[in-house]
Amino acid sequence: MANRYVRTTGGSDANGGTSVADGWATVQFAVDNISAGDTLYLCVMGGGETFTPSAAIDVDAFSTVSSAATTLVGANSSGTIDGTVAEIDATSTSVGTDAITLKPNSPSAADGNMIFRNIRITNAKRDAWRIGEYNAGGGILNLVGDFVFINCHANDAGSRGFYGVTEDTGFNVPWNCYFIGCSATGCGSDGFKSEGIGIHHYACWADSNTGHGFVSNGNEASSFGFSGGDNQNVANATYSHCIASNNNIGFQYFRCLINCTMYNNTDGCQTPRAYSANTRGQNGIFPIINCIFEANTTAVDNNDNADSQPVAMIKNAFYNNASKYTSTSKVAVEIDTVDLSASPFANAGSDDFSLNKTAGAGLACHSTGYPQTELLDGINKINKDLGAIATKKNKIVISA
Amino acid sequence: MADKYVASNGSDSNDGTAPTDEGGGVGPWATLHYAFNYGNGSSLGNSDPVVAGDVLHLVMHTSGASIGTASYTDEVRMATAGTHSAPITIVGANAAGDIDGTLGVFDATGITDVFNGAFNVRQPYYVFRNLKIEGDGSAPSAGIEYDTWSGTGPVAVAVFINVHIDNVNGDGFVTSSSPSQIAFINCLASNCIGDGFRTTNGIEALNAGVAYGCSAIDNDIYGFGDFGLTINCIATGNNGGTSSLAGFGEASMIANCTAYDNDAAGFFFADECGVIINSVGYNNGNSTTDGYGANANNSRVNVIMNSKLGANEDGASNNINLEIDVDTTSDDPFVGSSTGNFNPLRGSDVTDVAYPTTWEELSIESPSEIGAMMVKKPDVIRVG
Repeated sequence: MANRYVRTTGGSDANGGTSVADGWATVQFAVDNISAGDTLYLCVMGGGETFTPSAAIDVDAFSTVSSAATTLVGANSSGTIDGTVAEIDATSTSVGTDAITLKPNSPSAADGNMIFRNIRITNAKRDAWRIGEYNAGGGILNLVGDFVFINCHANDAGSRGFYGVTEDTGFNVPWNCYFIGCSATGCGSDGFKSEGIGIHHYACWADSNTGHGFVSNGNEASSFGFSGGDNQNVANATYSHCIASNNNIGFQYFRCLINCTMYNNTDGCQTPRAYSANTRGQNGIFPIINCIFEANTTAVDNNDNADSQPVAMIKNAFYNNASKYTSTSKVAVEIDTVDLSASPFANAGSDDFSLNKTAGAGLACHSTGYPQTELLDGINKINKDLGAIATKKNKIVISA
Repeated sequence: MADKYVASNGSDSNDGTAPTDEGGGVGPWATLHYAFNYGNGSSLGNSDPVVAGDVLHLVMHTSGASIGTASYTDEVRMATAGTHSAPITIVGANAAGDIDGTLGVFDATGITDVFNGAFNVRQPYYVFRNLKIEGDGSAPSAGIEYDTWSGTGPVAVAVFINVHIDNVNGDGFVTSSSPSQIAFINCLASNCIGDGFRTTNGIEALNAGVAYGCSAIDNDIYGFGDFGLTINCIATGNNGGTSSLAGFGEASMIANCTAYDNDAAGFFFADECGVIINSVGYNNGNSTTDGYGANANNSRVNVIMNSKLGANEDGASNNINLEIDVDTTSDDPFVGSSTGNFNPLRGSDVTDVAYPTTWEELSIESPSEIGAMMVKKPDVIRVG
């Protein structure tokens, strides 16, 4: 339950890490020397300073079960949590390595209990945040999870931004991950990908990733016969108040999309397929509520496969998508769809997804769907942690 | 792939067609039992019952009408499967048989079988829309129950839109199956002897139930349990029974929700990790149970942020790992909580914190489709 400190500059791994003045120099040394329940402050000592590891940071010291969560959090030069986002620039790491890997030391059904807050990873050579590797051999089903990410980001990763990985050799299944106010942009593969179960996203943004914006693919986990064959991995990833823009598929597989925006993706979203080995698995009627679709080639791909599952469409708005559905028979119910006459956004091409005041466009969305982008100003005054969610009125800005 | 009809003035001697040109065996049926061809323990000889792809309209021929159970005393057993491209829809309709937001009312007080709910659903791919199930406190034993008694095969795959359940002698909505691929949108469970909404599982990562814009009011145990996501929902006046949970609990993500005046904890994590965001837990607890705004009775990671926890009997929170921007002052954040108006009081702390679904917007007394989602100021989404 101690506070520990690591600093971008001026620290030393010979220090005790007990204060900013006594702060460590490297994140890896710091995470190797904290205990379960500790809070590690990543202190940004000066403007523009970053942490620059030369190798992947393995976070594997956390407890299997802790009465107090272990926390890594960005802080200012005084060691205060004020919304400062600590950047870990992985430019100096080796080709093919991940920036941060979250590994348990031993199998457990309740690993993790960790909170990551106000941390940005840039320029990872492979995945920026890799969740769910297993350190000590394989062969045992290992649930890796109970992670909460608040205001954490991945920019320009070589592969995925956030990757909850199911590892065949280790029988890992990531579970219980929460992403709040997080973003993944410019990644070489998917922005957010999980192969696990119980993955929840709130006010997250995936933009301009080469792969998909958000992916929840639990086939690998289900192949382990997880939970007696009652796998429902794909179907248990929820998304609310999220944006997927300029990706391949915006949301590939999901339990629900609520108050989400899909802009300029190949598919705005794609529904899961029934998992052939287990008909109880990913079957479902997947609700899409209060969402806005603009400029996607296909807004809702609900027939990627003969086994693709249906949607329940409620109060959604569409504009300028080449097609709306790939199967009308797989729309189980459709209520209050609005076809807009113009873009509802102020300037979607410049990432301003606030609603405009145009009749039949932004105004129409006010009575039907509304995206997360309709945020009030003053949020920074209220919660500086959530810089990524909004920094000025009605505009989403990925915090610089 | 047909439209079929049950009417409050229909006859099971009819052919189940629309309430036009009635007579001579033509027109709506009288009972849901006959529509699904099962009652009092046996088949009813309906040669054209509801099948995959059908839309069954519950026609209200006049104001205050309801569909009854006639001589049937057991559940409406829905044992026919829909498919992923041909779901079975059960929807309320007006006197002309049209879907216009009219609630199709089912008077379930004749169901005295104590083992099943009013609707006992045994197969997947159902859509329930614009319905109300009324009990009398002693019958039926639940409102809508999904179970696995059909053996193997996919289960609990359904969406509920604008479905209300009142005063049943058990849970309002309950799934006894695992997994529970259930979504509730703008639904209401009130005055039930058991829980309002419950999707049984027990492992939080596998909780796949979603509730959006729903209310659980004055139920005898808890409001919402075992959900993956509850968002824009209200739980108020729930008793908690002997549980430490009364409002929302044993869930994963809880966002934009209000727990007010429940008799135990507003939000409760029994053995789960989870996050509460943009929510209000106010005036919960009584003298016999743990009346925290938010209570975590476990060692898993729990976070609450951007929320208000005020005037709860035993304190704002207990055993929560991380709290960010939680207002614990005791001022009433609502426009008129005593009259059920949960609109945030402008200028109060809550307007800077959370924005719950409001009572007025639920349109419970005069429900229209998606009434709960018709927020007056939809641009006010409090994420910060």
